[in-house]
Amino acid sequence: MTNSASNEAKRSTAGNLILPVAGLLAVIGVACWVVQLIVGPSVLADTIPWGVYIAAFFLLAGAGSGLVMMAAAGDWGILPALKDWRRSLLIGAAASYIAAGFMILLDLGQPVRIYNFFVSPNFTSMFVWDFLFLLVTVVLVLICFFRKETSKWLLGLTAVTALGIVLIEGWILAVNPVTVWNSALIPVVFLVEAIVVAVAVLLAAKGDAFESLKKILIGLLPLLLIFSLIEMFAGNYMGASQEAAGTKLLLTGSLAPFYWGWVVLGVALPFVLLLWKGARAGAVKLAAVLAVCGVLLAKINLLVAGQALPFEGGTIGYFPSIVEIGGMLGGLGLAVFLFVLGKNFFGDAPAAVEASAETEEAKAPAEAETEAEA
Amino acid sequence: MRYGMVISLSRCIGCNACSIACKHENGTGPGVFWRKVIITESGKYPQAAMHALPLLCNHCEDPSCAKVCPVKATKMDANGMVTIDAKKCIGCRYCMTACPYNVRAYVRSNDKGYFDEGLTEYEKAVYGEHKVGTVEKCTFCAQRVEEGKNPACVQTCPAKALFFGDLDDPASQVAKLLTDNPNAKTLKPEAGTKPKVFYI
Ligand code: SF4
Ligand code: SF4
Repeated sequence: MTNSASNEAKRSTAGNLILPVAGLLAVIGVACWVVQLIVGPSVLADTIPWGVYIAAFFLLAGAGSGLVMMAAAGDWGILPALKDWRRSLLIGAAASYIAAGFMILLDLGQPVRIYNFFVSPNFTSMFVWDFLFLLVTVVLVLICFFRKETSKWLLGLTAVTALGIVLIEGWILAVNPVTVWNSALIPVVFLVEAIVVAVAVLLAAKGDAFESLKKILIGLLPLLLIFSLIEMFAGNYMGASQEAAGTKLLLTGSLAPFYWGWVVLGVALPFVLLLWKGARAGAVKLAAVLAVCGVLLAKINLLVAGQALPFEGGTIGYFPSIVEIGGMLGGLGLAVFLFVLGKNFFGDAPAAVEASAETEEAKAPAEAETEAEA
Repeated sequence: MRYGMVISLSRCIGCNACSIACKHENGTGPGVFWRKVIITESGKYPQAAMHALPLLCNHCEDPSCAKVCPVKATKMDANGMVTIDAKKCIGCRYCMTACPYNVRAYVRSNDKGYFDEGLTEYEKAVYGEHKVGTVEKCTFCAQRVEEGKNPACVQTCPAKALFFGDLDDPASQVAKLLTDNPNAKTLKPEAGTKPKVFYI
Protein backbone atom coordinates (compact mmCIF):
# COMPACT_ATOMS: atom_id res chain seq x y z
CA MET A 1 0.00 0.00 0.00
CA THR A 2 1.39 3.43 -0.89
CA ASN A 3 1.82 6.16 1.75
CA SER A 4 -1.00 8.28 0.39
CA ALA A 5 -3.31 5.27 0.20
CA SER A 6 -2.63 4.37 3.85
CA ASN A 7 -3.17 8.02 4.90
CA GLU A 8 -6.44 7.99 3.01
CA ALA A 9 -7.46 4.77 4.78
CA LYS A 10 -6.59 6.27 8.21
CA ARG A 11 -8.59 9.38 7.40
CA SER A 12 -11.65 7.43 6.36
CA THR A 13 -11.49 5.29 9.55
CA ALA A 14 -11.38 8.48 11.62
CA GLY A 15 -14.22 9.88 9.53
CA ASN A 16 -16.31 6.75 10.10
CA LEU A 17 -15.84 7.09 13.85
CA ILE A 18 -17.10 10.67 14.05
CA LEU A 19 -20.79 9.83 13.59
CA PRO A 20 -21.04 7.09 16.26
CA VAL A 21 -18.91 9.02 18.77
CA ALA A 22 -20.90 12.23 18.26
CA GLY A 23 -24.14 10.22 18.38
CA LEU A 24 -23.07 8.60 21.65
CA LEU A 25 -22.30 12.01 23.16
CA ALA A 26 -25.69 13.29 22.02
CA VAL A 27 -27.40 10.30 23.65
CA ILE A 28 -25.47 10.99 26.88
CA GLY A 29 -26.64 14.62 26.69
CA VAL A 30 -30.27 13.60 26.31
CA ALA A 31 -29.87 11.10 29.17
CA CYS A 32 -28.52 13.90 31.39
CA TRP A 33 -31.53 16.01 30.49
CA VAL A 34 -33.90 13.18 31.38
CA VAL A 35 -32.14 12.75 34.75
CA GLN A 36 -32.50 16.49 35.32
CA LEU A 37 -36.20 16.43 34.43
CA ILE A 38 -36.84 13.57 36.84
CA VAL A 39 -34.62 14.62 39.77
CA GLY A 40 -34.81 18.40 39.27
CA PRO A 41 -32.09 21.05 39.16
CA SER A 42 -30.59 19.76 42.42
CA VAL A 43 -28.35 17.57 40.23
CA LEU A 44 -26.63 20.73 38.97
CA ALA A 45 -23.91 22.81 40.64
CA ASP A 46 -25.70 25.22 42.99
CA THR A 47 -23.15 27.96 43.34
CA ILE A 48 -23.71 30.32 40.43
CA PRO A 49 -26.78 30.73 38.19
CA TRP A 50 -25.17 30.48 34.75
CA GLY A 51 -22.51 27.84 34.12
CA VAL A 52 -21.36 25.51 31.36
CA TYR A 53 -24.80 25.14 29.73
CA ILE A 54 -24.95 28.84 28.92
CA ALA A 55 -21.27 28.84 27.87
CA ALA A 56 -21.96 25.98 25.43
CA PHE A 57 -25.10 27.77 24.23
CA PHE A 58 -23.07 30.92 23.45
CA LEU A 59 -20.38 28.79 21.74
CA LEU A 60 -22.85 26.90 19.55
CA ALA A 61 -24.99 29.92 18.63
CA GLY A 62 -21.75 31.79 17.82
CA ALA A 63 -20.51 28.85 15.72
CA GLY A 64 -23.79 28.79 13.76
CA SER A 65 -23.59 32.52 13.12
CA GLY A 66 -19.92 32.35 12.17
CA LEU A 67 -20.65 29.57 9.66
CA VAL A 68 -23.49 31.60 8.09
CA MET A 69 -21.14 34.58 7.79
CA MET A 70 -18.51 32.32 6.16
CA ALA A 71 -21.08 31.07 3.66
CA ALA A 72 -22.08 34.64 2.84
CA ALA A 73 -18.40 35.63 2.55
CA GLY A 74 -18.02 32.83 -0.02
CA ASP A 75 -21.05 33.93 -2.01
CA TRP A 76 -20.05 37.58 -1.97
CA GLY A 77 -16.52 36.80 -3.16
CA ILE A 78 -14.86 37.96 0.08
CA LEU A 79 -13.56 34.42 0.70
CA PRO A 80 -13.88 32.84 -2.77
CA ALA A 81 -12.41 29.54 -1.53
CA LEU A 82 -15.65 28.99 0.41
CA LYS A 83 -17.98 29.41 -2.55
CA ASP A 84 -18.36 25.68 -3.12
CA TRP A 85 -18.80 25.02 0.59
CA ARG A 86 -22.09 26.86 0.83
CA ARG A 87 -24.25 23.80 1.46
CA SER A 88 -21.93 22.27 4.04
CA LEU A 89 -21.64 25.59 5.85
CA LEU A 90 -25.42 25.99 5.98
CA ILE A 91 -25.87 22.43 7.27
CA GLY A 92 -23.23 23.18 9.93
CA ALA A 93 -24.99 26.40 10.90
CA ALA A 94 -28.40 24.71 11.22
CA ALA A 95 -26.84 21.87 13.28
CA SER A 96 -25.13 24.38 15.61
CA TYR A 97 -28.31 26.41 16.14
CA ILE A 98 -30.36 23.28 16.91
CA ALA A 99 -27.72 22.13 19.42
CA ALA A 100 -27.70 25.66 20.94
CA GLY A 101 -31.48 25.35 21.39
CA PHE A 102 -30.92 22.02 23.14
CA MET A 103 -28.49 23.71 25.55
CA ILE A 104 -31.12 26.30 26.47
CA LEU A 105 -33.72 23.58 27.08
CA LEU A 106 -31.21 21.89 29.38
CA ASP A 107 -30.63 25.12 31.25
CA LEU A 108 -34.24 26.15 31.86
CA GLY A 109 -35.80 25.17 35.18
CA GLN A 110 -39.24 25.01 33.51
CA PRO A 111 -38.53 24.09 29.87
CA VAL A 112 -42.19 23.34 29.07
CA ARG A 113 -43.04 26.97 29.73
CA ILE A 114 -40.87 28.15 26.85
CA TYR A 115 -44.15 29.01 25.07
CA ASN A 116 -44.22 32.07 27.36
CA PHE A 117 -41.71 33.61 24.93
CA PHE A 118 -44.65 33.83 22.50
CA VAL A 119 -47.54 34.57 24.83
CA SER A 120 -45.84 37.01 27.19
CA PRO A 121 -42.64 38.38 25.63
CA ASN A 122 -40.83 41.21 27.40
CA PHE A 123 -39.17 43.26 24.69
CA THR A 124 -36.81 44.99 27.11
CA SER A 125 -35.15 41.60 27.65
CA MET A 126 -32.17 40.74 25.46
CA PHE A 127 -33.21 37.09 25.79
CA VAL A 128 -36.39 37.76 23.82
CA TRP A 129 -34.45 39.44 21.01
CA ASP A 130 -31.97 36.58 20.99
CA PHE A 131 -34.87 34.11 20.71
CA LEU A 132 -36.45 36.06 17.84
CA PHE A 133 -33.19 36.48 15.93
CA LEU A 134 -32.39 32.77 16.39
CA LEU A 135 -35.80 31.76 15.05
CA VAL A 136 -35.60 34.08 12.05
CA THR A 137 -32.03 33.05 11.25
CA VAL A 138 -32.81 29.32 11.40
CA VAL A 139 -35.77 29.84 9.03
CA LEU A 140 -33.59 31.89 6.65
CA VAL A 141 -30.81 29.27 6.77
CA LEU A 142 -33.32 26.58 5.81
CA ILE A 143 -34.72 28.71 2.98
CA CYS A 144 -31.20 29.42 1.67
CA PHE A 145 -30.43 25.71 1.82
CA PHE A 146 -33.54 24.32 0.15
CA ARG A 147 -34.10 27.07 -2.41
CA LYS A 148 -33.29 25.91 -5.95
CA GLU A 149 -31.83 29.24 -7.05
CA THR A 150 -28.97 30.51 -4.92
CA SER A 151 -29.31 34.16 -3.94
CA LYS A 152 -26.41 36.02 -2.47
CA TRP A 153 -28.81 38.73 -1.29
CA LEU A 154 -30.85 36.29 0.77
CA LEU A 155 -27.70 34.75 2.23
CA GLY A 156 -26.41 38.27 2.91
CA LEU A 157 -29.60 39.03 4.87
CA THR A 158 -29.18 35.76 6.78
CA ALA A 159 -25.62 36.77 7.66
CA VAL A 160 -26.95 40.07 9.04
CA THR A 161 -29.47 38.33 11.32
CA ALA A 162 -26.73 35.84 12.31
CA LEU A 163 -24.52 38.80 13.22
CA GLY A 164 -27.45 40.12 15.26
CA ILE A 165 -27.51 36.89 17.30
CA VAL A 166 -23.85 37.25 18.25
CA LEU A 167 -24.14 40.92 19.21
CA ILE A 168 -27.35 40.37 21.19
CA GLU A 169 -25.75 37.51 23.09
CA GLY A 170 -22.88 39.84 23.99
CA TRP A 171 -25.44 42.35 25.22
CA ILE A 172 -27.22 39.70 27.30
CA LEU A 173 -24.19 39.98 29.57
CA ALA A 174 -23.05 43.54 28.87
CA VAL A 175 -26.34 45.26 29.84
CA ASN A 176 -26.23 43.80 33.36
CA PRO A 177 -25.06 46.16 36.11
CA VAL A 178 -22.51 43.49 37.06
CA THR A 179 -18.71 43.71 37.42
CA VAL A 180 -16.69 42.10 34.58
CA TRP A 181 -19.78 41.79 32.28
CA ASN A 182 -20.75 45.45 32.18
CA SER A 183 -18.48 46.26 29.22
CA ALA A 184 -19.18 47.54 25.72
CA LEU A 185 -16.42 45.28 24.41
CA ILE A 186 -18.25 42.01 25.10
CA PRO A 187 -20.39 41.98 21.90
CA VAL A 188 -17.20 42.62 19.88
CA VAL A 189 -15.41 39.79 21.68
CA PHE A 190 -18.38 37.50 20.94
CA LEU A 191 -18.22 38.44 17.26
CA VAL A 192 -14.51 37.68 16.98
CA GLU A 193 -15.01 34.42 18.88
CA ALA A 194 -17.84 33.41 16.52
CA ILE A 195 -15.58 33.89 13.50
CA VAL A 196 -12.69 32.10 15.23
CA VAL A 197 -14.91 29.08 15.94
CA ALA A 198 -16.34 28.97 12.40
CA VAL A 199 -12.90 29.25 10.79
CA ALA A 200 -11.47 26.69 13.21
CA VAL A 201 -14.30 24.24 12.47
CA LEU A 202 -13.52 24.52 8.76
CA LEU A 203 -9.81 24.01 9.35
CA ALA A 204 -10.53 21.07 11.65
CA ALA A 205 -12.59 19.50 8.87
CA LYS A 206 -10.23 20.22 6.02
CA GLY A 207 -6.82 20.69 7.65
CA ASP A 208 -4.51 22.57 5.34
CA ALA A 209 -6.97 23.10 2.49
CA PHE A 210 -7.59 26.77 3.19
CA GLU A 211 -4.52 28.96 3.37
CA SER A 212 -6.67 32.09 3.58
CA LEU A 213 -8.57 30.75 6.61
CA LYS A 214 -5.35 29.89 8.38
CA LYS A 215 -4.31 33.52 7.99
CA ILE A 216 -7.63 34.72 9.44
CA LEU A 217 -7.17 32.54 12.51
CA ILE A 218 -3.56 33.69 12.93
CA GLY A 219 -4.84 37.27 12.92
CA LEU A 220 -7.83 36.78 15.22
CA LEU A 221 -6.36 34.63 18.01
CA PRO A 222 -4.01 37.34 19.37
CA LEU A 223 -6.86 39.83 19.04
CA LEU A 224 -8.81 37.88 21.68
CA LEU A 225 -5.86 38.18 24.03
CA ILE A 226 -5.58 41.90 23.32
CA PHE A 227 -9.28 42.35 24.14
CA SER A 228 -8.73 40.61 27.45
CA LEU A 229 -5.79 42.91 28.26
CA ILE A 230 -7.81 46.00 27.29
CA GLU A 231 -10.60 44.96 29.67
CA MET A 232 -8.20 44.36 32.52
CA PHE A 233 -6.26 47.58 31.98
CA ALA A 234 -9.36 49.77 31.68
CA GLY A 235 -10.95 48.17 34.72
CA ASN A 236 -7.90 48.46 36.93
CA TYR A 237 -6.43 51.81 35.91
CA MET A 238 -8.39 53.80 38.51
CA GLY A 239 -8.22 50.97 41.00
CA ALA A 240 -11.99 50.34 41.02
CA SER A 241 -12.12 47.69 43.71
CA GLN A 242 -14.70 45.37 42.14
CA GLU A 243 -12.98 45.41 38.73
CA ALA A 244 -9.64 44.79 40.40
CA ALA A 245 -11.18 41.86 42.28
CA GLY A 246 -12.40 40.43 38.96
CA THR A 247 -8.94 40.72 37.42
CA LYS A 248 -7.33 39.15 40.50
CA LEU A 249 -9.78 36.26 40.31
CA LEU A 250 -8.69 35.56 36.72
CA LEU A 251 -4.97 36.17 37.02
CA THR A 252 -4.15 34.72 40.43
CA GLY A 253 -7.42 33.60 42.03
CA SER A 254 -9.59 30.51 41.70
CA LEU A 255 -10.08 31.06 37.95
CA ALA A 256 -6.34 31.40 37.24
CA PRO A 257 -5.79 27.79 36.04
CA PHE A 258 -8.64 28.26 33.55
CA TYR A 259 -7.58 31.75 32.45
CA TRP A 260 -3.95 30.77 31.91
CA GLY A 261 -5.12 27.49 30.40
CA TRP A 262 -7.01 29.55 27.83
CA VAL A 263 -4.01 31.82 27.17
CA VAL A 264 -1.56 28.92 26.67
CA LEU A 265 -3.71 26.16 25.14
CA GLY A 266 -6.50 28.17 23.53
CA VAL A 267 -4.49 31.05 22.07
CA ALA A 268 -0.68 30.71 22.19
CA LEU A 269 -0.33 27.05 21.16
CA PRO A 270 -2.76 27.15 18.21
CA PHE A 271 -1.17 30.44 17.12
CA VAL A 272 2.33 28.89 17.08
CA LEU A 273 1.07 25.73 15.34
CA LEU A 274 -0.59 27.79 12.62
CA LEU A 275 2.52 29.91 12.12
CA TRP A 276 4.72 26.83 11.78
CA LYS A 277 5.67 26.75 8.12
CA GLY A 278 6.26 23.02 7.77
CA ALA A 279 3.16 22.04 9.80
CA ARG A 280 1.26 19.04 8.50
CA ALA A 281 -2.50 18.90 8.14
CA GLY A 282 -2.70 17.13 11.53
CA ALA A 283 -1.01 20.07 13.30
CA VAL A 284 -3.41 22.54 11.67
CA LYS A 285 -6.36 20.41 12.77
CA LEU A 286 -5.00 20.25 16.31
CA ALA A 287 -4.60 24.03 16.33
CA ALA A 288 -8.20 24.40 15.15
CA VAL A 289 -9.59 22.07 17.83
CA LEU A 290 -7.57 23.89 20.51
CA ALA A 291 -8.93 27.24 19.29
CA VAL A 292 -12.54 25.99 19.64
CA CYS A 293 -11.86 24.58 23.12
CA GLY A 294 -10.16 27.89 23.97
CA VAL A 295 -13.27 29.87 23.05
CA LEU A 296 -15.41 27.57 25.21
CA LEU A 297 -13.01 28.07 28.12
CA ALA A 298 -13.00 31.84 27.58
CA LYS A 299 -16.79 31.89 27.73
CA ILE A 300 -16.86 29.82 30.92
CA ASN A 301 -14.25 32.17 32.47
CA LEU A 302 -16.25 35.25 31.52
CA LEU A 303 -19.52 33.82 32.83
CA VAL A 304 -18.06 32.64 36.12
CA ALA A 305 -15.98 35.78 36.74
CA GLY A 306 -19.14 37.91 36.42
CA GLN A 307 -20.98 35.87 39.04
CA ALA A 308 -18.20 34.91 41.41
CA LEU A 309 -18.06 38.26 43.21
CA PRO A 310 -21.29 38.57 45.19
CA PHE A 311 -22.53 41.85 46.65
CA GLU A 312 -21.93 40.62 50.18
CA GLY A 313 -18.18 40.16 49.55
CA GLY A 314 -15.86 37.17 49.12
CA THR A 315 -15.82 34.92 46.08
CA ILE A 316 -18.02 32.04 44.99
CA GLY A 317 -16.40 28.92 43.55
CA TYR A 318 -17.88 26.93 40.69
CA PHE A 319 -17.31 23.48 39.33
CA PRO A 320 -19.88 21.88 37.03
CA SER A 321 -21.60 18.69 38.19
CA ILE A 322 -21.26 15.40 36.26
CA VAL A 323 -24.74 15.94 34.81
CA GLU A 324 -23.76 19.41 33.55
CA ILE A 325 -20.56 18.11 31.97
CA GLY A 326 -22.51 15.28 30.31
CA GLY A 327 -25.18 17.72 29.10
CA MET A 328 -22.61 20.12 27.69
CA LEU A 329 -20.69 17.37 25.86
CA GLY A 330 -24.07 16.11 24.64
CA GLY A 331 -24.87 19.50 23.11
CA LEU A 332 -21.49 19.67 21.36
CA GLY A 333 -21.86 16.05 20.18
CA LEU A 334 -25.38 16.79 18.91
CA ALA A 335 -24.06 19.62 16.70
CA VAL A 336 -21.44 17.33 15.11
CA PHE A 337 -23.92 14.44 14.82
CA LEU A 338 -26.56 16.56 13.08
CA PHE A 339 -23.95 18.04 10.77
CA VAL A 340 -22.54 14.69 9.63
CA LEU A 341 -26.03 13.25 9.34
CA GLY A 342 -27.18 16.29 7.33
CA LYS A 343 -24.20 16.03 5.03
CA ASN A 344 -24.75 12.31 4.47
CA PHE A 345 -28.46 12.79 3.86
CA PHE A 346 -28.49 15.90 1.71
CA GLY A 347 -25.01 15.59 0.24
CA ASP A 348 -22.68 18.52 -0.02
CA ALA A 349 -22.78 18.96 -3.75
CA PRO A 350 -21.58 22.45 -4.44
CA ALA A 351 -24.26 25.04 -4.98
CA ALA A 352 -22.78 25.54 -8.43
CA VAL A 353 -24.54 22.37 -9.58
CA GLU A 354 -27.89 24.10 -9.32
CA ALA A 355 -26.16 27.08 -10.68
CA SER A 356 -27.53 30.39 -11.62
CA ALA A 357 -25.44 32.67 -13.85
CA GLU A 358 -24.37 34.50 -10.69
CA THR A 359 -22.79 31.32 -9.33
CA GLU A 360 -20.82 30.65 -12.47
CA GLU A 361 -19.35 34.13 -12.47
CA ALA A 362 -17.96 33.74 -9.01
CA LYS A 363 -16.58 30.26 -9.67
CA ALA A 364 -13.48 31.51 -11.41
CA PRO A 365 -11.87 33.25 -8.40
CA ALA A 366 -12.81 30.30 -6.21
CA GLU A 367 -10.92 27.94 -8.46
CA ALA A 368 -8.04 30.36 -8.72
CA GLU A 369 -7.59 30.41 -4.94
CA THR A 370 -7.90 26.65 -4.58
CA GLU A 371 -5.25 26.19 -7.25
CA ALA A 372 -2.98 28.79 -5.72
CA GLU A 373 -3.30 27.05 -2.36
CA ALA A 374 -2.50 23.67 -3.91
CA MET B 1 -48.67 54.01 46.63
CA ARG B 2 -45.05 52.87 46.84
CA TYR B 3 -44.12 50.41 49.56
CA GLY B 4 -40.60 50.70 50.90
CA MET B 5 -38.46 49.99 53.94
CA VAL B 6 -36.15 52.01 56.12
CA ILE B 7 -33.44 50.20 58.10
CA SER B 8 -31.69 51.88 61.00
CA LEU B 9 -28.11 50.62 60.97
CA SER B 10 -27.40 52.28 64.31
CA ARG B 11 -30.18 50.22 65.91
CA CYS B 12 -29.50 46.87 64.22
CA ILE B 13 -27.72 44.48 66.58
CA GLY B 14 -27.02 41.82 63.93
CA CYS B 15 -29.09 39.16 65.71
CA ASN B 16 -30.60 37.64 62.53
CA ALA B 17 -34.06 37.42 64.14
CA CYS B 18 -35.41 38.97 60.91
CA SER B 19 -33.78 36.21 58.82
CA ILE B 20 -35.39 33.53 60.97
CA ALA B 21 -38.78 35.26 61.03
CA CYS B 22 -38.64 35.39 57.24
CA LYS B 23 -37.87 31.69 57.00
CA HIS B 24 -40.70 30.91 59.39
CA GLU B 25 -43.24 33.09 57.58
CA ASN B 26 -42.27 32.04 54.06
CA GLY B 27 -41.10 28.47 54.64
CA THR B 28 -37.94 28.70 52.55
CA GLY B 29 -35.79 25.57 52.30
CA PRO B 30 -32.29 24.83 53.59
CA GLY B 31 -29.68 27.30 52.39
CA VAL B 32 -32.27 29.76 51.03
CA PHE B 33 -32.44 33.17 52.69
CA TRP B 34 -34.74 35.79 51.24
CA ARG B 35 -33.14 38.14 53.71
CA LYS B 36 -29.96 37.87 55.70
CA VAL B 37 -27.62 40.00 57.80
CA ILE B 38 -24.11 40.57 56.51
CA ILE B 39 -21.58 40.98 59.29
CA THR B 40 -18.31 42.74 58.43
CA GLU B 41 -15.37 43.94 60.46
CA SER B 42 -13.31 47.10 60.12
CA GLY B 43 -10.24 48.66 61.75
CA LYS B 44 -7.67 47.08 64.02
CA TYR B 45 -7.62 46.55 67.75
CA PRO B 46 -8.21 48.70 69.77
CA GLN B 47 -10.24 50.53 67.12
CA ALA B 48 -11.83 47.42 65.62
CA ALA B 49 -15.59 47.43 64.90
CA MET B 50 -18.27 45.05 63.68
CA HIS B 51 -21.02 46.16 61.29
CA ALA B 52 -24.35 44.53 60.55
CA LEU B 53 -26.06 45.08 57.20
CA PRO B 54 -29.51 43.56 56.77
CA LEU B 55 -29.83 42.61 53.08
CA LEU B 56 -33.04 41.82 51.21
CA CYS B 57 -34.68 42.56 47.87
CA ASN B 58 -34.75 46.35 47.48
CA HIS B 59 -38.01 46.30 45.47
CA CYS B 60 -36.17 48.70 43.19
CA GLU B 61 -37.92 51.56 41.39
CA ASP B 62 -36.08 50.59 38.18
CA PRO B 63 -35.50 46.87 38.75
CA SER B 64 -32.93 45.28 36.46
CA CYS B 65 -34.46 41.88 37.26
CA ALA B 66 -37.81 42.89 35.72
CA LYS B 67 -36.12 44.51 32.73
CA VAL B 68 -34.29 41.33 31.76
CA CYS B 69 -37.04 38.80 32.59
CA PRO B 70 -37.94 37.47 29.12
CA VAL B 71 -41.51 36.44 29.95
CA LYS B 72 -42.67 39.21 32.31
CA ALA B 73 -42.72 36.79 35.26
CA THR B 74 -40.98 39.47 37.33
CA LYS B 75 -42.83 42.77 37.37
CA MET B 76 -43.57 45.75 39.55
CA ASP B 77 -47.06 45.84 41.04
CA ALA B 78 -49.11 49.03 41.38
CA ASN B 79 -48.11 49.22 45.06
CA GLY B 80 -44.40 49.33 44.16
CA MET B 81 -43.61 45.76 45.18
CA VAL B 82 -41.47 43.76 42.73
CA THR B 83 -43.08 40.33 42.45
CA ILE B 84 -42.48 37.04 40.62
CA ASP B 85 -45.31 35.04 39.07
CA ALA B 86 -44.25 31.45 39.88
CA LYS B 87 -46.66 30.13 37.26
CA LYS B 88 -44.96 32.10 34.49
CA CYS B 89 -41.28 31.83 35.48
CA ILE B 90 -39.31 29.63 33.07
CA GLY B 91 -36.33 29.31 35.42
CA CYS B 92 -33.80 30.97 33.10
CA ARG B 93 -32.14 32.76 36.05
CA TYR B 94 -31.37 35.84 33.97
CA CYS B 95 -32.88 37.91 36.81
CA MET B 96 -30.42 36.35 39.26
CA THR B 97 -27.46 37.39 37.16
CA ALA B 98 -28.91 40.89 36.62
CA CYS B 99 -29.67 41.72 40.26
CA PRO B 100 -26.68 43.68 41.61
CA TYR B 101 -27.50 42.61 45.19
CA ASN B 102 -27.68 38.81 44.74
CA VAL B 103 -30.92 38.54 46.68
CA ARG B 104 -32.74 36.04 44.46
CA ALA B 105 -32.80 32.29 44.99
CA TYR B 106 -33.36 29.37 42.60
CA VAL B 107 -35.67 26.64 43.91
CA ARG B 108 -33.54 23.54 43.29
CA SER B 109 -35.71 21.16 45.28
CA ASN B 110 -38.67 21.23 47.68
CA ASP B 111 -38.36 17.80 49.25
CA LYS B 112 -35.12 18.22 51.17
CA GLY B 113 -35.41 19.46 54.73
CA TYR B 114 -33.09 20.52 57.51
CA PHE B 115 -33.03 17.17 59.29
CA ASP B 116 -31.73 13.73 58.33
CA GLU B 117 -34.94 12.04 59.52
CA GLY B 118 -36.91 13.52 56.61
CA LEU B 119 -39.31 16.44 56.44
CA THR B 120 -40.96 17.69 59.62
CA GLU B 121 -44.73 18.33 59.62
CA TYR B 122 -44.03 22.05 59.21
CA GLU B 123 -41.65 21.44 56.28
CA LYS B 124 -44.19 19.15 54.62
CA ALA B 125 -46.79 21.88 54.90
CA VAL B 126 -44.70 24.76 53.52
CA TYR B 127 -42.11 23.47 51.04
CA GLY B 128 -44.72 22.42 48.49
CA GLU B 129 -45.52 26.09 47.89
CA HIS B 130 -42.09 26.60 46.36
CA LYS B 131 -42.15 25.58 42.70
CA VAL B 132 -38.98 23.69 41.71
CA GLY B 133 -37.12 25.22 38.76
CA THR B 134 -38.33 28.77 39.40
CA VAL B 135 -36.75 31.80 41.05
CA GLU B 136 -37.93 33.43 44.29
CA LYS B 137 -37.11 36.35 46.53
CA CYS B 138 -38.46 38.58 49.31
CA THR B 139 -42.08 39.54 48.69
CA PHE B 140 -42.27 42.19 51.45
CA CYS B 141 -44.63 39.54 52.93
CA ALA B 142 -47.39 40.65 50.55
CA GLN B 143 -49.76 38.13 52.19
CA ARG B 144 -49.37 39.92 55.55
CA VAL B 145 -49.39 43.42 54.08
CA GLU B 146 -52.73 42.65 52.40
CA GLU B 147 -54.13 41.97 55.88
CA GLY B 148 -52.80 45.30 57.12
CA LYS B 149 -49.86 43.72 58.99
CA ASN B 150 -46.15 44.51 58.77
CA PRO B 151 -43.74 42.10 57.03
CA ALA B 152 -42.59 39.34 59.41
CA CYS B 153 -39.06 40.76 59.71
CA VAL B 154 -40.33 44.20 60.75
CA GLN B 155 -42.75 42.64 63.23
CA THR B 156 -39.97 40.52 64.78
CA CYS B 157 -36.96 42.87 64.96
CA PRO B 158 -36.21 43.18 68.72
CA ALA B 159 -34.21 46.40 68.24
CA LYS B 160 -36.96 48.15 66.24
CA ALA B 161 -34.45 48.73 63.44
CA LEU B 162 -36.87 48.00 60.58
CA PHE B 163 -39.69 50.25 59.34
CA PHE B 164 -42.14 49.51 56.55
CA GLY B 165 -44.78 51.61 54.84
CA ASP B 166 -45.91 53.75 51.94
CA LEU B 167 -43.10 56.05 50.81
CA ASP B 168 -45.67 58.23 48.97
CA ASP B 169 -47.69 58.90 52.12
CA PRO B 170 -46.07 61.86 53.94
CA ALA B 171 -47.79 60.75 57.16
CA SER B 172 -46.18 57.28 57.08
CA GLN B 173 -43.33 56.46 59.44
CA VAL B 174 -40.99 55.58 56.55
CA ALA B 175 -41.65 58.90 54.76
CA LYS B 176 -41.08 60.82 58.00
CA LEU B 177 -37.82 58.94 58.68
CA LEU B 178 -36.56 59.80 55.20
CA THR B 179 -37.48 63.47 55.68
CA ASP B 180 -35.65 63.50 59.02
CA ASN B 181 -32.63 61.69 57.55
CA PRO B 182 -31.80 63.40 54.26
CA ASN B 183 -28.52 61.41 54.12
CA ALA B 184 -30.33 58.07 53.99
CA LYS B 185 -28.41 55.70 51.70
CA THR B 186 -29.33 52.99 49.26
CA LEU B 187 -27.08 50.09 48.24
CA LYS B 188 -24.96 50.35 45.08
CA PRO B 189 -26.68 53.48 43.73
CA GLU B 190 -24.30 53.36 40.75
CA ALA B 191 -26.21 50.29 39.46
CA GLY B 192 -29.08 52.65 38.61
CA THR B 193 -31.79 50.40 40.04
CA LYS B 194 -33.12 53.02 42.53
CA PRO B 195 -33.71 50.79 45.57
CA LYS B 196 -36.72 51.40 47.84
CA VAL B 197 -34.93 50.01 50.88
CA PHE B 198 -33.11 52.86 52.63
CA TYR B 199 -30.40 52.72 55.29
CA ILE B 200 -30.14 55.43 57.97
S1 SF4 C 1 -32.98 44.09 44.65
FE1 SF4 C 1 -32.56 42.79 42.88
S2 SF4 C 1 -34.29 41.37 42.85
FE2 SF4 C 1 -34.91 43.06 44.15
S3 SF4 C 1 -35.98 44.48 42.77
FE3 SF4 C 1 -33.84 45.16 42.88
S4 SF4 C 1 -32.87 44.17 41.13
FE4 SF4 C 1 -34.80 43.08 41.48
S1 SF4 D 1 -35.91 33.03 36.16
FE1 SF4 D 1 -38.08 33.48 36.03
S2 SF4 D 1 -38.30 35.50 36.98
FE2 SF4 D 1 -36.14 35.22 36.53
S3 SF4 D 1 -35.81 36.14 34.50
FE3 SF4 D 1 -36.20 33.96 34.14
S4 SF4 D 1 -38.41 33.85 33.85
FE4 SF4 D 1 -38.02 35.84 34.78
